[in-house]
Amino acid sequence: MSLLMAIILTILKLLTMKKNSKITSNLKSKEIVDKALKNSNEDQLDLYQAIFGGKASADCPVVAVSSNASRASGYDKQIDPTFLLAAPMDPSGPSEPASDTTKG
Amino acid sequence: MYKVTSFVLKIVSRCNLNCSYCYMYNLGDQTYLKQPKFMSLETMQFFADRLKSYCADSNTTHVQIVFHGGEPLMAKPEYFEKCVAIFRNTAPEIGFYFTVQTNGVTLDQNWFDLFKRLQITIGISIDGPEKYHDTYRVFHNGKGSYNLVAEAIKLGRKNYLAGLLMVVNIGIPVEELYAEMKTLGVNNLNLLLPDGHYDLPPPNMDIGKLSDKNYTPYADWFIALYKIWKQDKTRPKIYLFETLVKIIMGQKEIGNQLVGRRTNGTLVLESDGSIEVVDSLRACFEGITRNEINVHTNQIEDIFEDDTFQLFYRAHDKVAEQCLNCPVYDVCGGGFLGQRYSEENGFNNPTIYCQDMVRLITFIQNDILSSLPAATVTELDIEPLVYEEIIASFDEPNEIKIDPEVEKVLVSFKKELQV
Repeated sequence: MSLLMAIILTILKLLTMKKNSKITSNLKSKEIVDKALKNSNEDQLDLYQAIFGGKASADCPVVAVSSNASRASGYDKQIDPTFLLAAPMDPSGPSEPASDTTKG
Repeated sequence: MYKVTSFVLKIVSRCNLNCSYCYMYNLGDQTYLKQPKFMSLETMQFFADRLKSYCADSNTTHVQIVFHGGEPLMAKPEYFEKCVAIFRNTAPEIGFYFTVQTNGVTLDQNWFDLFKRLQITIGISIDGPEKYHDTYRVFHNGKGSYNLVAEAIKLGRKNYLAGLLMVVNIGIPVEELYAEMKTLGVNNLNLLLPDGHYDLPPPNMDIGKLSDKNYTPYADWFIALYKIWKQDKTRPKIYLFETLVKIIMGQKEIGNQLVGRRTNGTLVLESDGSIEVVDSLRACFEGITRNEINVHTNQIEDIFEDDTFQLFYRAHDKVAEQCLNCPVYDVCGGGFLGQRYSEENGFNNPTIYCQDMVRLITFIQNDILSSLPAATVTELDIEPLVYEEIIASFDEPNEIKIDPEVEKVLVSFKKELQV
């Protein structure tokens, strides 16, 4: 492999490694996004505000809000949402906590 | 300890439709022919007893019961009343979330009234606008089922309909599909990727083009739909998209069999009482879900010793080495287990939708970032993912090596090692 090719590959790898598929990975970044969702009137944020409950209070972390969240809270949130289809409840939640191995 | 909280009950093993892509009847497995047509109430009682015991031992307080088939509405209304009574009388301490998944062709007001009274939520399967739906979802005489399904959906708007389930058909123009959903008044839609793997490619996927790094037919379709959906201020909920957004946004402990890193806590109860792993895996090869475990003679926990169950349960952890090194692994979770299969490597492959998932995930991540105020993105110190960079990285040596024990399990399902 030529030196030039090795350098290009190394740069490419570094570029890829510093990127993260997840936008918020800690409490601080969640607060930053919460703040933007709460305060922005940007039309293009409408979808994401809708998914995350719109302009929620500042102490509400980035969590989904469904039309039937109170009912969902009655469950231990370990059900398989594949079979919920689009049932009117928020089926989020793990069977077991999942580890985060995203390269950062 | 494995934690299973969703149970899919094959209360009817036959169907009044004959969908061309159905994993039950038209993809690689004929197991259903050996099943009784209906699950007996005796079997249901055995299952309820086992469930009560399992929940007590595993400290499980709530479970999901999915009445499934075949076509579950081929059973009589009284059957559902008796089933629900069995569960509630046998285990009053358990919180049950009942749902029924139907093709909708016989779903009328009487059924809606019954399910409302029994607190069973309803999901209907549809394949899109009439001309597409009726290409695949046909009766055994070849006649299309669209009109009956559309009628049921319209009836469901003022009844107890939870939402629609659709296996994606990328042959449908997204504008046409979206207009159809709006016309039908759909509030909740879930999209599933068609079953398929390296030896049985999904519809509209040319396996010969997979080496083309820009070949992403499913992602292209999803992205076009996503753009329309985003612009619509009265949009329905689309579960797949919302799940991906939530994971990308950093919400933990979310996902399902298709995406994310959760464990797969789902079991299937066949009509004869057999306890098996989800039946959509049958598209891989004949008998993959088969075992000797039955509620008449076994506890639910006995399936925890089953190799296929163990792999399926942790399918999003037990992935090919390429996935371990992929920047979007935590979002896609390696994809649905069945879609990773090849006779040559068993499950030691990325999903056949790998490029599509990378393309879709990078698109959504980029869209979120471009939608957020610039100052917020700067503060987050996050860079947009680049599809081409990720795909190119697959050709580089992997930094993270697969656990040899995991690799051994994954390849143990390849054809030459099948018992």
